[in-house]
Amino acid sequence: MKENVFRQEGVKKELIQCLLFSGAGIGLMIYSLYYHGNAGIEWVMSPYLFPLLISIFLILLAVGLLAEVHHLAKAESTKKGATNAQISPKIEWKKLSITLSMIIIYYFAMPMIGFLISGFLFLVGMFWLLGERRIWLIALLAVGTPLILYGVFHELLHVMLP
Amino acid sequence: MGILEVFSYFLNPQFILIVFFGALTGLMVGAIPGLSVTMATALLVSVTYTWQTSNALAMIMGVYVVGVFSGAISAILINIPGAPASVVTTLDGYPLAKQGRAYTALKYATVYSFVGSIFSFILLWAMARPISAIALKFTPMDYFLLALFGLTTVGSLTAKSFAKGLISATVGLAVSMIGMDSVMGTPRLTLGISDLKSGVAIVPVLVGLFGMAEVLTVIAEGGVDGQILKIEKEVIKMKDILKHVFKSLYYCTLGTLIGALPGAGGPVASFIAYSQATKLEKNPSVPFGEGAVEGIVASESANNAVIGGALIPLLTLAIPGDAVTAIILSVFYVHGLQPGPMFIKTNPAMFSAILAGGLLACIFLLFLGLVVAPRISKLIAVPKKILLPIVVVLCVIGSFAGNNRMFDVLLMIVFGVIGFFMRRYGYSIASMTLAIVLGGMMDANFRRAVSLAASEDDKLMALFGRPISLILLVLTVITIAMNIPAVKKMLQKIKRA
Repeated sequence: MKENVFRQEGVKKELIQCLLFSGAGIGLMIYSLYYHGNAGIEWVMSPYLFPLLISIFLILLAVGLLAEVHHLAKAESTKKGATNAQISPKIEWKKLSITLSMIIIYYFAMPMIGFLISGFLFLVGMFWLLGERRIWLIALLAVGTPLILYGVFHELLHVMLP
Repeated sequence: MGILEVFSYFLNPQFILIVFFGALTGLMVGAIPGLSVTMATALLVSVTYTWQTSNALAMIMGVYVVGVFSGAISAILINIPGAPASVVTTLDGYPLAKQGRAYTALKYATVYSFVGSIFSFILLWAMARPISAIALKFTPMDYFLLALFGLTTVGSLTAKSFAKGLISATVGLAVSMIGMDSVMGTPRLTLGISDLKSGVAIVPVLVGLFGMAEVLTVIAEGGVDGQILKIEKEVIKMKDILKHVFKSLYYCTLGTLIGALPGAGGPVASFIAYSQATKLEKNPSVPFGEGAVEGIVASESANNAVIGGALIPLLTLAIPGDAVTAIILSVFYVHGLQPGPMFIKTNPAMFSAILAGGLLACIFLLFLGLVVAPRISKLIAVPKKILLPIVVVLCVIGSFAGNNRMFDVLLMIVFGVIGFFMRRYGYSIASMTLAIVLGGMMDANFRRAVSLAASEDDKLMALFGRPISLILLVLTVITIAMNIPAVKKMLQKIKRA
């Protein structure tokens, strides 16, 4: 029963991807046609010729993917197929969302408080999130890593840092 | 370009030192699961941005050659391949290590990775000129078709589904269209964002797709840390190791040829070589899959031989053979170099630097593999909870350093998320990378070809009438047709009948 739900979810996800790509293809096609019309030049010279071809390909490939989904759904009904949902490992969405949020905060904090302090705060948060509980190690790595990276990249290799 | 020019680099201490640092970096990133050669190379593009081109290439060759090998270390010691090319090495490497013979497995992996790398660089040296001569006859349409053929083969080999492989490539092409059009100077697909007018910078995209996406994947999937096996030193006679050398040359040839095919790369090469070894070796030391050194020989010879093979189309046709060479192509562009048929003639020093860097890296591979690899088992065990946050900071530095723009860091994060979902749903990142790198060239050549054909009476003949164009077109159509499920089914039926 649980396996069947997984299979159905897999087919549903694939179907969403088909719709997403055909939508993107149609969007790109409309964009290319609209801007080409405004440019008022021949197609052979148009900067929108290649994007138009890409959009056509994308739509065709989305249809191809749809055919694959159809095949998958058929296999599901005979219980022979395996879907992505079954194959892919389980995702820890909560941990992933927190990680992404921290990265985004880190991104915005960098120009405001500088590379060293934002790096320290980000590393402390991430080490803690990923399960490190030894305070001395967190402190050592969170202070040491940005300093070492600053020394190596900025001072030694003359690479600009955020 | 003579042999002396290549070997002159062997007398340059700075060059040697840079290759050595690259090799050392390659050893670490290849051996530690969660870090990859592609990720390291992508990060290096921005670090080496201000360096002399020869030094940048030296560093990258060191990372590339040793990084491909060192994936075998974790494959043997913890049964987790450090690089995708080492997946096959786990089949016999880990069972051999479990028998208490990890040292033997590492020694075989080192020696035959060295043989594979050296073989492929010699072939690169020998083949680059003749292929460049052929490439000189290529028209814009031929270049377009060659890139298209490359993308279709990458799509067919790197994704679980052919449609998904090609969708990745097509989306990559669309991304490469963003920015100012090179022919008319018109901004395309910028969505009114002024930072996108100069196009999507390749380095942040690569760092995002390979570095950030890897971090997000490992965190989301809760990465598994394997148990490390003990290494006890054994006395192994070199005579015993070298008795497989002739067969390994066959695996090397396979590896180099597969490497030259865009997209196939190390995993395919090592898998094919391994399956050949199971047929060729009638009496392996122990059955395959139970610790046969013959399996390690096949896998490691072939996956390292891919390196030189992948560089052949890159240098002569500007078509990368795999993800790492796609990044190397961006190094060329960043440093104002244009690979292609004229590259060896116009930039003999750079070609020599690549060969010298590669050959020196082979020597360091042998040294590091025999001396350092057995001693770094503790380093492989760096917990991911420590490693991953540091990788994120490195990704930020890597994406920022190229243009000194915070927008590129944002771009890296966005492509990291895209890369995560692509991995999750079976879309090929390699296809997308290749398409992003090749998109501009494909667009320019396609429009040039169409413009030239527009003035001809027989437009179709003008576009596809030449033998090279025709061959490339047929190859592309065959690749696409052979991957259509209905055609596949029909062929299977015919085979059975």
